Amino acid sequence: MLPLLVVLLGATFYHQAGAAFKPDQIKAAYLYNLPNFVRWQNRHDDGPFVVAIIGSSQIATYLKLLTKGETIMGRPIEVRFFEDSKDLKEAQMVFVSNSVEDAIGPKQLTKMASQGILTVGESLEFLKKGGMVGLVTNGNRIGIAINDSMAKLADISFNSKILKVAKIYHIEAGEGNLEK
Amino acid sequence: MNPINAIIRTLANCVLICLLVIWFNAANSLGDQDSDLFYLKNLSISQLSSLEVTTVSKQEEKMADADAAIYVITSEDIRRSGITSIPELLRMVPGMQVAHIDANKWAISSRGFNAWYANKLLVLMDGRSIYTPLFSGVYWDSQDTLLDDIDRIEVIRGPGATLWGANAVNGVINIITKNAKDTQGGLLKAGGGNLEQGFGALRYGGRIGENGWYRAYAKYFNRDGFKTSTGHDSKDEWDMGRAGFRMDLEPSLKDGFTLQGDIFTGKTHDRFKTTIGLPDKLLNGKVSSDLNGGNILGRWHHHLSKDSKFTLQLYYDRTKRNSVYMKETRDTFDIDIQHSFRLFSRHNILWGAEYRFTHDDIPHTDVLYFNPESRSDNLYSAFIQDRISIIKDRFDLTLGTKLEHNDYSGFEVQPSIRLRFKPDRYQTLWAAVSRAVRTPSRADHDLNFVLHRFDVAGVKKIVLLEGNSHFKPEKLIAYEIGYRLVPKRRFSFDVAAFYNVYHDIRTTTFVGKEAETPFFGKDVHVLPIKIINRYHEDSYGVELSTTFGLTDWWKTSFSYSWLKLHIHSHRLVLSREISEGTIPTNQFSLRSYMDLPHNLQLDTMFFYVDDLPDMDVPSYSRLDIRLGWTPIKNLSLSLKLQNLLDNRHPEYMSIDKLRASEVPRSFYGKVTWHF
Repeated sequence: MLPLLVVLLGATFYHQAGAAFKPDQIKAAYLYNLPNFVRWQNRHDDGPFVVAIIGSSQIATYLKLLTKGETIMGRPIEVRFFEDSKDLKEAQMVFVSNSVEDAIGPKQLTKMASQGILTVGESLEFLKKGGMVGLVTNGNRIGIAINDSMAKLADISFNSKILKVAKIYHIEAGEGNLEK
Repeated sequence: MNPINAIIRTLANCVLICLLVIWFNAANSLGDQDSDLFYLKNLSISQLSSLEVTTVSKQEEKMADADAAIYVITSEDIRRSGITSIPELLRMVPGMQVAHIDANKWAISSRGFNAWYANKLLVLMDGRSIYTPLFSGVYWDSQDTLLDDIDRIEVIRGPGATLWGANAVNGVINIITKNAKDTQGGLLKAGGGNLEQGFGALRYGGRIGENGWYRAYAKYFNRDGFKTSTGHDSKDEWDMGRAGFRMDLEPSLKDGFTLQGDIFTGKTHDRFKTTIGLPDKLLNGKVSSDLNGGNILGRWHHHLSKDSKFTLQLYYDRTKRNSVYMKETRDTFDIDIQHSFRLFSRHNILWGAEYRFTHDDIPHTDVLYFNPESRSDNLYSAFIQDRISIIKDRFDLTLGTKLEHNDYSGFEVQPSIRLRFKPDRYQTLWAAVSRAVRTPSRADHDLNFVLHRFDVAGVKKIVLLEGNSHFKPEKLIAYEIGYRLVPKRRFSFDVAAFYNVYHDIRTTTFVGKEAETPFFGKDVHVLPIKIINRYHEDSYGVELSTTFGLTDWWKTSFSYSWLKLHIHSHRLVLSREISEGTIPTNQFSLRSYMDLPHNLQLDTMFFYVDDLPDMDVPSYSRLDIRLGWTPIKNLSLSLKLQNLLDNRHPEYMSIDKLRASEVPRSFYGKVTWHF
């Protein structure tokens, strides 16, 4: 019985020290952290910090759980769902899920940039079209890719901490060439 | 110690452990998903970028959560073991007893009652039952496929009666081959050694239009015989050729179709003791058997909605066995339907119905006659199972029952109840009570088998084993409990314990009076030994297995089982096969898979099996080593050394006059080319 107990106790702590997580959980954690490493130079909103989600995704569910009761710079965080990119003015960060990525093109992404919205997607394709941040699967891990040109367009700058970890690209919307 | 006390003590300990585990998890009181998010929340961006993503397949998730004593032999296990036959692969499973009787015969059972005609195990190959109703067992010599095409073998110890039916008394073995889309391209392999004298296989897979795939294979092997206890050749060699195909079509997201079939032909040799009464023209009691057969199976699954799925399956199987002592031709036709759906959000219902028709022709021989010589049997069955979620993702209760009607014993009901508790996403604690039944086989009912022929003062006499038309089904009530921990992909721990109570187990008894039956000739006196139901037996045991990935390139696994059998009977015990000392008390196995530089693989397996005291079979240890090398892409070589520790050893005793032989040391080399 005793060895069994030791194994069990070991395991309950073990799972925190190196277990693997679902990709959607990691992406939601990134979204939760992102606003802390981003500066919106041209936006001075007062109300809640709105995160818009386009397309259904488990990531959104996780994000809702993570942001429950949380604030950023004193403003409560609100996660809202949208069918498309029409009425997004209030949002400061928009997450485009893989499931609807095809529906959002360079025109919409440029428009969102001009409104000072931080656009986040799940692939490099998203960056090529004019998205600003991609939560990209690299083998066994999820990494961050940043499209600096589009961020500049939106007057959005990134903290050095995130720039160290991310892969930086300079792509004009719709250009389709990835240059580092 | 009284086994009931042992069970109660174990149960109490388990409950205590559960409470402790829950207490330690109190910090993450939100729930498994939530506790993960809670952890992730506090990580920095650079920490998030270095986290590993889990790629646990749905299958692995299902296995980790299972509320039964289940063990899965993966295709990696098959490849790295270098084992060339399905029965031998089952040695890896804790709780299974696998013994080579001779080069082409095995005695295989789960949780005791091992015998050549071990009858309490149901075996399915892609949903087709390969259990013969002739003696309620499996002809292991005829069960094979291209081993590279096996996706996994799921072994469930304990009654699988509710889902898989009567005769799954001590377990179910589910051999599942890969979908044709996973076996595309060509595969050619060939090799040979001292025991595996020559073998080869060819398989090719391609596409059918946009949504279909197929594969076709052919294989052949020629295996030498084993050795006798004095070191001579036992001449029990065999060879077999087999070919088959599989087609999978997925015309839409909602539907899938599969069509598959195989044919085989082969020949085995065995030695029999001559007092069996075989014709004098046979020298040294050597008997050869011709085996052949084929099958075709079709399956359609349809998703009615996100939570509702339906499967329809049909198959036809023909097998023929022909030897001087036994000739059997059997045709089987089976249709099976299963439907799973969700009801009121908390209930997951699975129900099904099946009809099976089997027809045989067993012409009499000098030693065997079935009365009647030909018979058609119908089997109707239905089952229903409800998995009720009492606390979402934490606690559920499954109630199920199977109802069958067969032509020997009429209606049989096999209910079961299972409880599952998951303190967190990594642990599962389960318990079950089930009733299972082994229905009478054709042999139990209709057999007449000459055990001995002799002369007493000029009067011919035979000792005849006779079937019993009033033979009752054997019954089991099983109490099981288990715990599983899978905290990480590279580590798992699984333990299960059971207490089985059997009633009406088959045995034989000397009827005590001479009779004359016209069949064996006038003036031949028959001394009948009748097949009867015995009173009561219990067995109990523990099975444990753990896998441990020490590093990325070195994985080890260990299994252990302990098993005890008690017979409560005052009747005369004539058959030694069903007694307490015919199963090994302790067994364990240790496996190690190592990936070395330069594309080398070193895989080692060690097995220990305790002695069988009532059979005079001593304990044995077996060490196997396999070396694999992939010098260039798509070409691999391997060398397998088997049974390194001793010259030869017996694993079973001679039974039913079939002479056992001893398993020798062996080796083979193999080349595999993918194109």
